[in-house]
Amino acid sequence: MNKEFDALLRNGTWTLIPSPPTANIIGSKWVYRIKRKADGGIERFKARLVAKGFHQQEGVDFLETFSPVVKPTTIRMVLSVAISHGWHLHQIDVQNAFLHGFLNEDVYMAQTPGFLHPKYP
Amino acid sequence: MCKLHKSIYGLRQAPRAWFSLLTDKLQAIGFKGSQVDNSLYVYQHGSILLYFLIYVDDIILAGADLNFINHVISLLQSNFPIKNLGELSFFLSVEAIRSDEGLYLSQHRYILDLLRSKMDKSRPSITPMSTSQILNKSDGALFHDPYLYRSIVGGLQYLSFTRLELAFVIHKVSKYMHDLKELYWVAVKRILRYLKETISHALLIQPDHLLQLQTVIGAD
Repeated sequence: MNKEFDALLRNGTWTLIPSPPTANIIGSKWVYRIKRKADGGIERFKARLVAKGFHQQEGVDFLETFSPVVKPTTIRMVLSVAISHGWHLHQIDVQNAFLHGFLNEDVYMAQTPGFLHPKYP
Repeated sequence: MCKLHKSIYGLRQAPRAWFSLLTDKLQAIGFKGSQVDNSLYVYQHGSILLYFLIYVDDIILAGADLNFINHVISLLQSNFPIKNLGELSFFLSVEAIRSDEGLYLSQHRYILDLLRSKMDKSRPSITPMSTSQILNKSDGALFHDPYLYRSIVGGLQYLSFTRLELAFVIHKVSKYMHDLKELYWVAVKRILRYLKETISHALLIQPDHLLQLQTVIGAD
């Protein structure tokens, strides 16, 4: 949990400010998961800070949403073309993908539960 | 209070913010978005051709030139942390296994997880559906656990990735989510029993040297 919090600070995810009187403030919470190895043993405990997106208001702190999901047909087709030409097929995985995106909207979030800075309530 | 500059998990725009960051980088490298699928990006310059498939944070690269693949990965790595998983082997819970015949796509592990919950002692079946039992009957006993039914049928739907032969039966049992009868649950269990019998079946993608578009027309 401390690690995840430090990562968010290093990432420059937010700056602490005094409360603007009219802002729509969204909450957040920690979600804990146990990552297991293939044999069922515990690999590590994972903590992820998650915003309460249901506090958000369209047009105020979010404008458009879109979730890119590739069609199975496209995957099968690309694999088929690759196999037919004897190409290389490589896979990569982006870590903490959603933490890298930049926000175009003004989004205000209450301070992280368990990590309160007394100067900026 | 925090003013957010970057996205975090749970925000409504988080997936979109990530996707637009990634595709901006791809376009800067020279990739172009495909007309047919938003998640497919293509790089084509001179003799180099590279396909780039995006499923949120899981990515597949397909191309002849290994040096160029590694070049693209290192360019992206200068922007965000990326784990290079090497040759395609397991993505979106589908196993990819190379053989002399081609590439096998298997959801063996996924099926195992699906069966683990319920079907330990059930008898395997060689067919996925009864030929005599009609499913649209409105009478019969109600099924007591709608949550279980929806969760299993939802899980079955993802199997259509590699198990194309199941499309019809899964469609059938998906039609009755709102008014569940014991009869439909029997049909779902039949599909699970069939999966138990055929768990090792995989989709084989074979090389085809005539990559031509063919049209098939059906008439009544």
